[in-house]
Amino acid sequence: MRHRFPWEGSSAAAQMLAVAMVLNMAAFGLMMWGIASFAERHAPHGAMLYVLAALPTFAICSMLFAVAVYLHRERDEFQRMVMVRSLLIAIAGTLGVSWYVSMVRGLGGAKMLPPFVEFAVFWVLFGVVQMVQVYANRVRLDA
Amino acid sequence: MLNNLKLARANKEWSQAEMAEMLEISRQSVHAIETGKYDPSLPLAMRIARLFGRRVEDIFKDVATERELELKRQYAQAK
Repeated sequence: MRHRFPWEGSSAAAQMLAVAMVLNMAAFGLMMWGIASFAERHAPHGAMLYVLAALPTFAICSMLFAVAVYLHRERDEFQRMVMVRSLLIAIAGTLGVSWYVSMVRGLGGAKMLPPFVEFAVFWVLFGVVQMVQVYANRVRLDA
Repeated sequence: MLNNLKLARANKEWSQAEMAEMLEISRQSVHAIETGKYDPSLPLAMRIARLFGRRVEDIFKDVATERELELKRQYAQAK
């Protein structure tokens, strides 16, 4: 018995979100690589350091903006609910990890998390929750 | 919330895909509503009822509310 997964025949809003996410991820990767190369050669300091550090946050905000646009454009309320649920679980997981590490650090048990771990934890959790929901909501082709 | 959407759809001989297209929602949404995993909003419930030419309460049944109303009726009669 073959099943159809939600990405088959997805809405225009979902397709736009997928494109926006790929573009944002690519922009983010390029920006990080560029900033790292620049910092290696020029050792930025003062205002330049703060500007360079702020640049990748635009890509991150842009990713979340793309999700907000999706939630605004998606006409299917069930799909909107699935997206919001994924975001909430990912936020809860990220805050949980962040809080746990802070507590351990506060109690003198560990050092700081390596840079960008929270960002990775958020998107990995988001992806895992989305996949679980895709699997849970798959429908039979002949239904 | 219970519903007889699957039965109503079967009576019309519509597939989930056809119904989803008419309602402009995904097949996953139709499936989730039919299996009771998701309760639609009032506007969507009204669109569904309109599609079948029936009232919302003919398709969706709030068991808890109906039981509560029945108990209230029984209580009023007993008084």
